[in-house]
Amino acid sequence: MAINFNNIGRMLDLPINQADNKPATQNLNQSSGVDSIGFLPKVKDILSLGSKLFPKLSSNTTSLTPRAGFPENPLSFDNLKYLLKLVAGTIPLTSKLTPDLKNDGKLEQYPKGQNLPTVPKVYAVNGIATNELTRADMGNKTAQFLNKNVNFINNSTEGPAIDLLQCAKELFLGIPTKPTETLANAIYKDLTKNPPEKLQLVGYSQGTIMTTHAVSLAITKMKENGYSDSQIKQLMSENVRVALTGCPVDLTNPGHVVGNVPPGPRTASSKTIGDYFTTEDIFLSGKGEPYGTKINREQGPGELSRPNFEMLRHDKDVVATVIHDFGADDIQSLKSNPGKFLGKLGSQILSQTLASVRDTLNPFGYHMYDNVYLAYMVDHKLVD
Amino acid sequence: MANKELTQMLNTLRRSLPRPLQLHSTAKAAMSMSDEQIYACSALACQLAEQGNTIDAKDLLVGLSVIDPENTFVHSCLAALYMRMEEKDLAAGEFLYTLQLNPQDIAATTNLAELYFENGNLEEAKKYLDKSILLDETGENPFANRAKALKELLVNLEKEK
Repeated sequence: MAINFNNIGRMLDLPINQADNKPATQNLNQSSGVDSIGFLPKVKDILSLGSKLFPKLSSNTTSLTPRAGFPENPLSFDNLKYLLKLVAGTIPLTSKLTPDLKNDGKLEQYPKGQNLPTVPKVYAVNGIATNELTRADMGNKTAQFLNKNVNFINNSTEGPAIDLLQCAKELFLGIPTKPTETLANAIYKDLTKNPPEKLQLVGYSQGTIMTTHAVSLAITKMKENGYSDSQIKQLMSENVRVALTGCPVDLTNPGHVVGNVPPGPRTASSKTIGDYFTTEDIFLSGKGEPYGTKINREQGPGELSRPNFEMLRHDKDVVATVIHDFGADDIQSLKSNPGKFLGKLGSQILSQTLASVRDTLNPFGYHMYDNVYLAYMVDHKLVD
Repeated sequence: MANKELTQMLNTLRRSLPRPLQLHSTAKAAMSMSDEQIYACSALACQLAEQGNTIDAKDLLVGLSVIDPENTFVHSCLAALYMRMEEKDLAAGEFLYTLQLNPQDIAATTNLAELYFENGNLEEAKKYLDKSILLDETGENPFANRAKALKELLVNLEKEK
Protein backbone atom coordinates (compact mmCIF):
# COMPACT_ATOMS: atom_id res chain seq x y z
CA MET A 1 0.00 0.00 0.00
CA ALA A 2 1.42 3.37 -0.94
CA ILE A 3 0.15 6.86 -0.60
CA ASN A 4 1.17 10.04 -2.32
CA PHE A 5 2.09 12.47 0.34
CA ASN A 6 0.90 15.38 -1.71
CA ASN A 7 -2.59 14.13 -0.92
CA ILE A 8 -1.91 14.53 2.76
CA GLY A 9 -0.58 17.98 2.02
CA ARG A 10 -3.82 18.84 0.32
CA MET A 11 -5.85 17.33 3.10
CA LEU A 12 -3.87 19.36 5.57
CA ASP A 13 -4.25 22.38 3.34
CA LEU A 14 -0.52 22.88 3.17
CA PRO A 15 1.11 24.88 0.42
CA ILE A 16 3.26 22.24 -1.18
CA ASN A 17 5.78 23.67 -3.52
CA GLN A 18 6.68 21.10 -6.11
CA ALA A 19 10.03 22.73 -6.61
CA ASP A 20 10.83 21.98 -3.02
CA ASN A 21 9.93 18.37 -3.38
CA LYS A 22 12.83 16.13 -3.74
CA PRO A 23 12.92 13.01 -5.81
CA ALA A 24 11.94 9.97 -3.91
CA THR A 25 14.39 7.37 -2.90
CA GLN A 26 15.24 6.18 -6.36
CA ASN A 27 18.65 4.83 -5.52
CA LEU A 28 17.34 3.22 -2.48
CA ASN A 29 19.46 0.70 -0.75
CA GLN A 30 17.87 -2.58 -1.68
CA SER A 31 18.22 -3.86 1.82
CA SER A 32 16.22 -1.02 3.26
CA GLY A 33 13.07 -2.01 1.42
CA VAL A 34 11.60 1.47 1.55
CA ASP A 35 9.22 2.01 -1.35
CA SER A 36 9.62 4.76 -3.85
CA ILE A 37 6.53 6.91 -4.04
CA GLY A 38 7.17 9.59 -6.56
CA PHE A 39 7.57 12.90 -4.81
CA LEU A 40 7.75 13.83 -1.20
CA PRO A 41 7.04 17.16 0.34
CA LYS A 42 9.49 18.35 2.93
CA VAL A 43 7.54 16.98 5.82
CA LYS A 44 9.36 17.93 8.99
CA ASP A 45 7.05 16.38 11.50
CA ILE A 46 4.11 14.51 10.21
CA LEU A 47 2.60 14.21 13.66
CA SER A 48 2.42 17.92 14.30
CA LEU A 49 0.94 18.40 10.85
CA GLY A 50 -1.53 15.62 11.50
CA SER A 51 -2.64 17.11 14.77
CA LYS A 52 -3.79 20.19 12.85
CA LEU A 53 -6.01 18.03 10.69
CA PHE A 54 -7.25 15.88 13.51
CA PRO A 55 -7.41 18.03 16.64
CA LYS A 56 -8.32 15.02 18.74
CA LEU A 57 -4.82 13.75 18.16
CA SER A 58 -3.39 16.55 20.22
CA SER A 59 -4.85 14.95 23.36
CA ASN A 60 -2.56 12.06 22.69
CA THR A 61 0.61 13.99 22.11
CA THR A 62 1.96 14.31 25.61
CA SER A 63 5.29 12.81 26.63
CA LEU A 64 6.28 11.92 23.12
CA THR A 65 9.70 11.78 21.69
CA PRO A 66 10.42 14.28 18.95
CA ARG A 67 10.66 13.14 15.34
CA ALA A 68 13.76 11.02 14.86
CA GLY A 69 14.41 11.00 18.60
CA PHE A 70 17.63 9.52 19.83
CA PRO A 71 17.35 6.33 21.85
CA GLU A 72 17.85 6.51 25.56
CA ASN A 73 21.50 6.17 26.41
CA PRO A 74 22.19 2.96 28.30
CA LEU A 75 24.41 4.94 30.64
CA SER A 76 22.55 6.39 33.55
CA PHE A 77 23.22 9.97 34.48
CA ASP A 78 25.44 8.89 37.32
CA ASN A 79 27.58 7.18 34.77
CA LEU A 80 28.23 10.45 33.05
CA LYS A 81 31.50 10.30 34.88
CA TYR A 82 32.55 8.06 32.05
CA LEU A 83 31.94 10.96 29.75
CA LEU A 84 34.08 13.06 31.98
CA LYS A 85 36.75 10.44 32.13
CA LEU A 86 36.62 10.48 28.40
CA VAL A 87 37.11 14.18 28.03
CA ALA A 88 39.34 14.62 30.99
CA GLY A 89 41.62 11.71 30.32
CA THR A 90 43.36 10.49 33.37
CA ILE A 91 42.40 13.23 35.78
CA PRO A 92 42.62 11.37 39.05
CA LEU A 93 39.15 10.73 40.32
CA THR A 94 40.38 10.97 43.85
CA SER A 95 42.88 13.75 44.03
CA LYS A 96 44.68 14.84 47.13
CA LEU A 97 42.32 17.76 47.54
CA THR A 98 40.62 17.78 50.85
CA PRO A 99 36.89 17.75 50.25
CA ASP A 100 35.14 20.34 52.38
CA LEU A 101 31.56 19.85 51.41
CA LYS A 102 30.33 21.36 54.63
CA ASN A 103 31.29 24.77 53.24
CA ASP A 104 29.80 24.27 49.78
CA GLY A 105 27.57 27.17 48.83
CA LYS A 106 28.30 29.09 52.02
CA LEU A 107 28.95 32.79 51.88
CA GLU A 108 32.14 34.02 53.40
CA GLN A 109 33.30 37.57 53.75
CA TYR A 110 36.77 38.74 52.87
CA PRO A 111 39.06 40.20 54.04
CA LYS A 112 38.85 38.73 57.49
CA GLY A 113 39.06 41.15 60.33
CA GLN A 114 39.08 44.21 58.15
CA ASN A 115 36.21 46.35 56.98
CA LEU A 116 36.41 47.63 53.44
CA PRO A 117 33.68 49.53 51.59
CA THR A 118 30.64 47.39 50.91
CA VAL A 119 29.08 49.31 48.01
CA PRO A 120 28.74 47.91 45.45
CA LYS A 121 28.28 44.50 46.89
CA VAL A 122 30.74 42.08 45.32
CA TYR A 123 29.98 38.39 44.96
CA ALA A 124 32.70 36.06 43.71
CA VAL A 125 32.60 32.38 42.85
CA ASN A 126 35.65 30.22 42.26
CA GLY A 127 36.22 27.41 39.78
CA ILE A 128 36.89 23.73 40.08
CA ALA A 129 39.52 22.03 42.17
CA THR A 130 39.98 24.91 44.55
CA ASN A 131 40.49 24.01 48.15
CA GLU A 132 39.73 26.02 51.25
CA LEU A 133 43.15 27.62 51.53
CA THR A 134 43.23 28.75 47.91
CA ARG A 135 39.71 30.11 48.18
CA ALA A 136 40.68 32.16 51.19
CA ASP A 137 43.67 33.46 49.31
CA MET A 138 41.48 34.31 46.32
CA GLY A 139 38.96 36.04 48.51
CA ASN A 140 41.58 38.18 50.22
CA LYS A 141 43.38 39.07 47.00
CA THR A 142 40.14 39.96 45.25
CA ALA A 143 39.10 42.15 48.14
CA GLN A 144 42.44 43.91 48.21
CA PHE A 145 42.40 44.52 44.46
CA LEU A 146 38.91 45.92 44.51
CA ASN A 147 39.27 47.58 47.85
CA LYS A 148 35.85 46.22 48.62
CA ASN A 149 34.44 43.65 50.93
CA VAL A 150 33.99 40.48 48.93
CA ASN A 151 31.15 38.06 49.54
CA PHE A 152 32.85 34.91 48.49
CA ILE A 153 30.64 31.97 47.66
CA ASN A 154 32.46 28.77 48.43
CA ASN A 155 32.43 26.36 45.56
CA SER A 156 33.94 23.44 47.39
CA THR A 157 35.80 20.76 45.57
CA GLU A 158 35.27 17.06 45.52
CA GLY A 159 38.25 16.49 43.27
CA PRO A 160 38.70 17.68 39.71
CA ALA A 161 36.73 14.93 38.00
CA ILE A 162 33.69 15.18 40.26
CA ASP A 163 33.84 18.97 39.91
CA LEU A 164 33.76 18.54 36.16
CA LEU A 165 30.74 16.32 36.63
CA GLN A 166 29.09 19.19 38.46
CA CYS A 167 29.86 21.47 35.50
CA ALA A 168 28.33 18.94 33.16
CA LYS A 169 25.22 18.60 35.33
CA GLU A 170 24.74 22.33 35.39
CA LEU A 171 25.52 22.88 31.72
CA PHE A 172 23.87 19.81 30.26
CA LEU A 173 20.91 19.45 32.53
CA GLY A 174 20.56 22.85 34.17
CA ILE A 175 20.78 21.38 37.67
CA PRO A 176 21.89 24.18 39.99
CA THR A 177 24.63 23.59 42.50
CA LYS A 178 24.61 24.91 46.05
CA PRO A 179 26.78 27.93 45.22
CA THR A 180 24.46 28.72 42.30
CA GLU A 181 21.43 28.60 44.58
CA THR A 182 23.12 30.74 47.19
CA LEU A 183 24.07 33.35 44.61
CA ALA A 184 20.65 33.29 42.94
CA ASN A 185 18.93 33.88 46.29
CA ALA A 186 21.37 36.65 47.15
CA ILE A 187 20.84 38.40 43.82
CA TYR A 188 17.08 38.15 44.16
CA LYS A 189 17.13 39.41 47.73
CA ASP A 190 19.47 42.31 46.97
CA LEU A 191 17.69 43.46 43.84
CA THR A 192 14.19 43.32 45.28
CA LYS A 193 15.17 45.46 48.25
CA ASN A 194 14.02 49.04 48.30
CA PRO A 195 16.25 50.58 47.14
CA PRO A 196 18.00 47.75 45.31
CA GLU A 197 21.66 47.12 46.02
CA LYS A 198 24.41 47.64 43.46
CA LEU A 199 25.97 44.28 42.68
CA GLN A 200 29.14 43.11 41.03
CA LEU A 201 29.28 39.44 40.17
CA VAL A 202 32.63 37.84 39.59
CA GLY A 203 32.98 34.33 38.27
CA TYR A 204 35.94 32.32 37.22
CA SER A 205 35.90 29.01 35.37
CA GLN A 206 33.12 26.89 36.85
CA GLY A 207 32.16 30.07 38.65
CA THR A 208 31.14 31.57 35.30
CA ILE A 209 28.64 28.81 34.75
CA MET A 210 27.34 29.25 38.28
CA THR A 211 27.15 33.03 38.02
CA THR A 212 25.23 33.07 34.75
CA HIS A 213 22.95 30.32 35.95
CA ALA A 214 22.34 32.19 39.20
CA VAL A 215 21.43 35.36 37.31
CA SER A 216 19.00 33.42 35.17
CA LEU A 217 17.47 31.76 38.24
CA ALA A 218 17.12 35.13 39.93
CA ILE A 219 15.42 36.55 36.85
CA THR A 220 13.08 33.58 36.75
CA LYS A 221 12.25 34.06 40.43
CA MET A 222 11.57 37.75 39.87
CA LYS A 223 9.25 36.92 37.01
CA GLU A 224 7.45 34.38 39.18
CA ASN A 225 6.96 37.10 41.75
CA GLY A 226 5.31 39.48 39.37
CA TYR A 227 8.16 41.59 38.06
CA SER A 228 7.73 42.55 34.42
CA ASP A 229 10.45 42.10 31.83
CA SER A 230 11.05 45.83 31.67
CA GLN A 231 11.30 46.10 35.46
CA ILE A 232 13.80 43.27 35.55
CA LYS A 233 15.81 44.75 32.74
CA GLN A 234 15.92 48.07 34.54
CA LEU A 235 16.97 46.47 37.82
CA MET A 236 19.61 44.37 36.14
CA SER A 237 21.13 46.99 33.92
CA GLU A 238 21.13 49.68 36.57
CA ASN A 239 22.44 47.57 39.41
CA VAL A 240 24.27 44.49 38.23
CA ARG A 241 27.68 44.17 36.65
CA VAL A 242 28.95 40.78 35.62
CA ALA A 243 32.58 39.85 35.15
CA LEU A 244 33.39 36.37 33.93
CA THR A 245 36.53 34.81 32.69
CA GLY A 246 38.11 31.47 32.02
CA CYS A 247 34.76 30.05 31.11
CA PRO A 248 35.13 26.45 29.91
CA VAL A 249 32.58 27.09 27.18
CA ASP A 250 31.58 30.20 25.35
CA LEU A 251 28.34 31.05 27.04
CA THR A 252 27.50 33.58 24.36
CA ASN A 253 27.39 30.80 21.81
CA PRO A 254 24.30 28.64 22.21
CA GLY A 255 26.08 25.99 20.18
CA HIS A 256 28.44 25.44 23.08
CA VAL A 257 25.63 24.73 25.43
CA VAL A 258 24.23 21.31 25.19
CA GLY A 259 20.65 20.79 24.18
CA ASN A 260 20.31 24.43 23.24
CA VAL A 261 19.17 25.04 26.77
CA PRO A 262 21.92 27.13 28.24
CA PRO A 263 21.15 27.17 31.92
CA GLY A 264 23.31 30.19 32.40
CA PRO A 265 22.40 32.74 29.82
CA ARG A 266 18.87 31.50 29.37
CA THR A 267 15.99 32.13 31.67
CA ALA A 268 12.83 30.09 32.04
CA SER A 269 11.43 31.79 28.97
CA SER A 270 13.19 31.97 25.64
CA LYS A 271 14.99 35.12 26.64
CA THR A 272 18.64 35.03 27.54
CA ILE A 273 20.11 36.94 30.42
CA GLY A 274 21.62 39.19 27.78
CA ASP A 275 18.11 40.44 27.14
CA TYR A 276 18.06 41.91 30.61
CA PHE A 277 21.27 43.85 30.30
CA THR A 278 22.46 46.43 27.88
CA THR A 279 25.48 45.42 25.83
CA GLU A 280 27.78 47.62 27.83
CA ASP A 281 26.82 45.95 31.07
CA ILE A 282 28.05 42.52 30.26
CA PHE A 283 31.64 41.71 30.66
CA LEU A 284 32.05 38.30 29.31
CA SER A 285 35.13 36.42 28.43
CA GLY A 286 34.53 33.55 26.08
CA LYS A 287 36.31 30.27 25.94
CA GLY A 288 39.99 30.68 25.35
CA GLU A 289 39.82 34.40 25.91
CA PRO A 290 42.20 35.33 28.69
CA TYR A 291 40.85 38.82 28.85
CA GLY A 292 37.26 39.74 28.49
CA THR A 293 35.84 42.16 26.02
CA LYS A 294 36.21 45.64 27.31
CA ILE A 295 33.36 47.86 28.25
CA ASN A 296 33.58 51.41 27.06
CA ARG A 297 31.41 52.85 29.73
CA GLU A 298 32.28 55.71 32.00
CA GLN A 299 33.00 54.85 35.57
CA GLY A 300 29.94 55.29 37.69
CA PRO A 301 29.87 56.45 41.28
CA GLY A 302 30.64 53.72 43.76
CA GLU A 303 31.88 51.30 41.14
CA LEU A 304 35.20 49.56 40.91
CA SER A 305 38.38 51.62 40.87
CA ARG A 306 37.96 51.53 37.14
CA PRO A 307 34.77 50.57 35.38
CA ASN A 308 36.31 48.02 33.10
CA PHE A 309 38.16 45.89 35.51
CA GLU A 310 40.03 43.13 33.88
CA MET A 311 40.36 39.60 34.98
CA LEU A 312 43.31 37.58 34.08
CA ARG A 313 43.58 33.90 33.86
CA HIS A 314 47.14 33.16 34.51
CA ASP A 315 48.69 31.55 31.49
CA LYS A 316 51.12 29.61 33.59
CA ASP A 317 48.26 27.65 35.01
CA VAL A 318 48.74 24.77 32.64
CA VAL A 319 46.25 22.51 34.34
CA ALA A 320 43.50 25.05 34.00
CA THR A 321 44.54 25.75 30.44
CA VAL A 322 44.32 22.11 29.52
CA ILE A 323 40.83 21.87 30.91
CA HIS A 324 39.60 25.21 29.66
CA ASP A 325 40.93 24.79 26.19
CA PHE A 326 38.96 21.67 25.57
CA GLY A 327 36.83 22.62 22.62
CA ALA A 328 36.17 22.17 18.95
CA ASP A 329 39.76 21.29 18.09
CA ASP A 330 39.82 18.60 20.69
CA ILE A 331 36.60 17.19 19.40
CA GLN A 332 38.27 16.96 16.01
CA SER A 333 41.19 15.20 17.59
CA LEU A 334 38.85 13.02 19.60
CA LYS A 335 37.15 11.95 16.41
CA SER A 336 40.25 11.19 14.43
CA ASN A 337 42.24 9.58 17.15
CA PRO A 338 40.54 9.19 20.51
CA GLY A 339 43.34 7.14 21.99
CA LYS A 340 45.93 9.76 21.18
CA PHE A 341 43.70 12.53 22.43
CA LEU A 342 43.10 10.84 25.75
CA GLY A 343 46.72 9.95 26.14
CA LYS A 344 47.91 13.46 25.43
CA LEU A 345 45.39 15.13 27.68
CA GLY A 346 45.87 12.64 30.44
CA SER A 347 49.63 12.83 30.39
CA GLN A 348 49.57 16.62 30.40
CA ILE A 349 47.29 16.75 33.39
CA LEU A 350 49.07 14.00 35.23
CA SER A 351 52.50 15.52 34.70
CA GLN A 352 51.21 18.88 35.80
CA THR A 353 49.71 17.40 38.91
CA LEU A 354 52.94 15.67 39.74
CA ALA A 355 54.88 18.85 39.04
CA SER A 356 52.54 20.73 41.31
CA VAL A 357 53.15 18.32 44.13
CA ARG A 358 56.88 18.34 43.54
CA ASP A 359 57.32 22.08 43.13
CA THR A 360 55.11 23.30 45.87
CA LEU A 361 55.44 20.41 48.26
CA ASN A 362 51.92 21.18 49.16
CA PRO A 363 49.95 18.51 50.92
CA PHE A 364 46.84 19.16 48.88
CA GLY A 365 48.58 18.37 45.68
CA TYR A 366 46.60 20.41 43.24
CA HIS A 367 46.20 23.99 42.17
CA MET A 368 48.39 25.45 44.80
CA TYR A 369 50.64 27.61 42.71
CA ASP A 370 51.28 30.97 44.16
CA ASN A 371 50.13 32.55 40.92
CA VAL A 372 46.81 30.79 40.60
CA TYR A 373 44.21 33.11 41.98
CA LEU A 374 41.31 31.95 40.01
CA ALA A 375 39.72 35.35 39.78
CA TYR A 376 42.77 37.43 39.38
CA MET A 377 42.17 41.05 38.80
CA VAL A 378 44.95 43.24 37.64
CA ASP A 379 45.30 46.85 36.96
CA HIS A 380 44.49 47.95 33.46
CA LYS A 381 48.05 49.04 32.88
CA LEU A 382 49.36 45.60 33.59
CA VAL A 383 46.98 44.00 31.14
CA ASP A 384 47.82 46.38 28.36
CA MET B 1 44.72 -22.80 -3.07
CA ALA B 2 46.46 -24.83 -0.46
CA ASN B 3 45.86 -24.13 3.19
CA LYS B 4 49.50 -23.30 3.67
CA GLU B 5 49.38 -20.58 1.05
CA LEU B 6 46.24 -19.16 2.59
CA THR B 7 47.85 -19.07 5.98
CA GLN B 8 50.87 -17.33 4.53
CA MET B 9 48.66 -14.75 2.85
CA LEU B 10 46.77 -14.18 6.05
CA ASN B 11 50.00 -13.71 7.96
CA THR B 12 51.28 -11.28 5.33
CA LEU B 13 48.03 -9.36 5.60
CA ARG B 14 48.28 -9.26 9.39
CA ARG B 15 51.82 -7.97 9.23
CA SER B 16 50.76 -5.20 6.89
CA LEU B 17 48.31 -3.86 9.46
CA PRO B 18 49.33 -1.22 11.99
CA ARG B 19 50.84 -2.95 14.99
CA PRO B 20 48.03 -2.22 17.46
CA LEU B 21 45.57 -3.84 15.09
CA GLN B 22 47.69 -6.93 14.61
CA LEU B 23 47.18 -7.93 18.20
CA HIS B 24 43.44 -7.39 18.35
CA SER B 25 40.49 -8.76 16.52
CA THR B 26 38.49 -5.52 16.51
CA ALA B 27 39.22 -1.82 16.32
CA LYS B 28 37.41 -1.43 19.63
CA ALA B 29 39.79 -3.84 21.33
CA ALA B 30 42.79 -2.23 19.61
CA MET B 31 41.77 1.14 20.97
CA SER B 32 40.98 -0.30 24.39
CA MET B 33 37.59 1.34 24.35
CA SER B 34 35.03 0.12 26.82
CA ASP B 35 31.28 -0.01 26.19
CA GLU B 36 30.90 2.90 28.57
CA GLN B 37 33.27 5.00 26.50
CA ILE B 38 31.41 4.10 23.34
CA TYR B 39 28.13 5.11 25.00
CA ALA B 40 29.69 8.30 26.33
CA CYS B 41 31.00 9.19 22.88
CA SER B 42 27.55 8.48 21.48
CA ALA B 43 26.04 10.76 24.11
CA LEU B 44 28.47 13.44 23.04
CA ALA B 45 27.45 12.94 19.40
CA CYS B 46 23.75 13.16 20.28
CA GLN B 47 24.40 16.36 22.19
CA LEU B 48 26.27 17.79 19.22
CA ALA B 49 23.32 16.89 17.02
CA GLU B 50 20.91 18.54 19.44
CA GLN B 51 22.99 21.68 19.15
CA GLY B 52 22.64 21.54 15.40
CA ASN B 53 26.17 20.37 14.75
CA THR B 54 25.09 17.41 12.65
CA ILE B 55 28.34 17.19 10.70
CA ASP B 56 30.50 16.52 13.75
CA ALA B 57 27.80 14.32 15.23
CA LYS B 58 27.69 12.23 12.07
CA ASP B 59 31.46 11.92 11.87
CA LEU B 60 31.61 10.81 15.47
CA LEU B 61 28.82 8.26 15.13
CA VAL B 62 30.14 6.89 11.85
CA GLY B 63 33.53 6.55 13.50
CA LEU B 64 31.98 4.76 16.45
CA SER B 65 30.07 2.43 14.16
CA VAL B 66 33.38 1.46 12.58
CA ILE B 67 35.05 0.98 15.94
CA ASP B 68 32.17 -1.03 17.34
CA PRO B 69 30.13 -2.22 14.37
CA GLU B 70 27.76 -4.40 16.37
CA ASN B 71 26.73 -1.77 18.87
CA THR B 72 23.03 -1.35 18.26
CA PHE B 73 22.83 1.88 20.23
CA VAL B 74 25.37 3.54 17.95
CA HIS B 75 23.51 2.42 14.84
CA SER B 76 20.19 3.54 16.29
CA CYS B 77 21.62 6.98 17.04
CA LEU B 78 23.21 7.20 13.61
CA ALA B 79 19.94 6.22 11.96
CA ALA B 80 18.02 8.88 13.90
CA LEU B 81 20.65 11.41 12.93
CA TYR B 82 20.40 10.49 9.24
CA MET B 83 16.65 10.85 9.54
CA ARG B 84 17.08 14.34 10.98
CA MET B 85 19.43 15.14 8.12
CA GLU B 86 16.76 13.91 5.69
CA GLU B 87 19.15 11.23 4.47
CA LYS B 88 16.29 8.82 4.33
CA ASP B 89 18.01 6.00 2.46
CA LEU B 90 20.88 5.90 4.88
CA ALA B 91 18.50 6.22 7.80
CA ALA B 92 16.39 3.30 6.63
CA GLY B 93 19.46 1.15 6.12
CA GLU B 94 20.75 1.93 9.60
CA PHE B 95 17.35 1.36 11.22
CA LEU B 96 16.97 -2.00 9.54
CA TYR B 97 20.48 -3.01 10.53
CA THR B 98 19.80 -1.90 14.09
CA LEU B 99 16.64 -3.99 14.20
CA GLN B 100 18.48 -6.92 12.72
CA LEU B 101 20.93 -6.73 15.62
CA ASN B 102 18.29 -5.92 18.21
CA PRO B 103 14.65 -6.39 17.25
CA GLN B 104 13.63 -4.97 20.64
CA ASP B 105 14.96 -1.47 19.90
CA ILE B 106 11.83 0.58 20.38
CA ALA B 107 13.40 3.84 19.25
CA ALA B 108 14.54 2.37 15.95
CA THR B 109 11.18 0.66 15.47
CA THR B 110 9.20 3.86 15.96
CA ASN B 111 11.58 5.98 13.91
CA LEU B 112 11.59 3.47 11.06
CA ALA B 113 7.81 3.34 11.13
CA GLU B 114 7.70 7.11 10.88
CA LEU B 115 10.16 7.02 8.02
CA TYR B 116 7.92 4.58 6.16
CA PHE B 117 4.95 6.75 7.05
CA GLU B 118 6.63 9.82 5.64
CA ASN B 119 7.48 7.89 2.52
CA GLY B 120 3.87 6.87 2.14
CA ASN B 121 4.46 3.20 2.74
CA LEU B 122 1.62 2.88 5.18
CA GLU B 123 1.61 -0.88 5.26
CA GLU B 124 5.18 -1.11 6.53
CA ALA B 125 4.57 1.90 8.75
CA LYS B 126 1.63 0.18 10.39
CA LYS B 127 3.62 -3.00 10.88
CA TYR B 128 6.41 -1.23 12.73
CA LEU B 129 4.05 1.03 14.67
CA ASP B 130 2.19 -2.01 15.98
CA LYS B 131 5.49 -3.61 16.85
CA SER B 132 6.63 -0.54 18.70
CA ILE B 133 3.41 -0.37 20.71
CA LEU B 134 3.75 -4.04 21.60
CA LEU B 135 7.35 -3.55 22.69
CA ASP B 136 6.30 -1.10 25.36
CA GLU B 137 5.47 -3.08 28.45
CA THR B 138 5.02 -0.10 30.74
CA GLY B 139 2.67 1.87 28.51
CA GLU B 140 4.71 4.97 29.24
CA ASN B 141 7.57 4.79 26.81
CA PRO B 142 7.75 8.07 24.87
CA PHE B 143 8.68 6.24 21.67
CA ALA B 144 5.68 3.96 22.03
CA ASN B 145 3.54 7.01 22.79
CA ARG B 146 4.70 8.54 19.55
CA ALA B 147 3.95 5.29 17.78
CA LYS B 148 0.41 5.34 19.23
CA ALA B 149 -0.16 8.90 18.06
CA LEU B 150 1.23 8.10 14.62
CA LYS B 151 -0.98 5.03 14.40
CA GLU B 152 -4.00 7.12 15.27
CA LEU B 153 -3.04 9.63 12.60
CA LEU B 154 -2.53 6.86 10.09
CA VAL B 155 -5.93 5.33 10.82
CA ASN B 156 -7.60 8.73 10.51
CA LEU B 157 -5.85 9.42 7.22
CA GLU B 158 -6.98 6.09 5.85
CA LYS B 159 -10.56 6.85 6.82
CA GLU B 160 -10.36 10.18 5.03
CA LYS B 161 -9.11 8.58 1.83
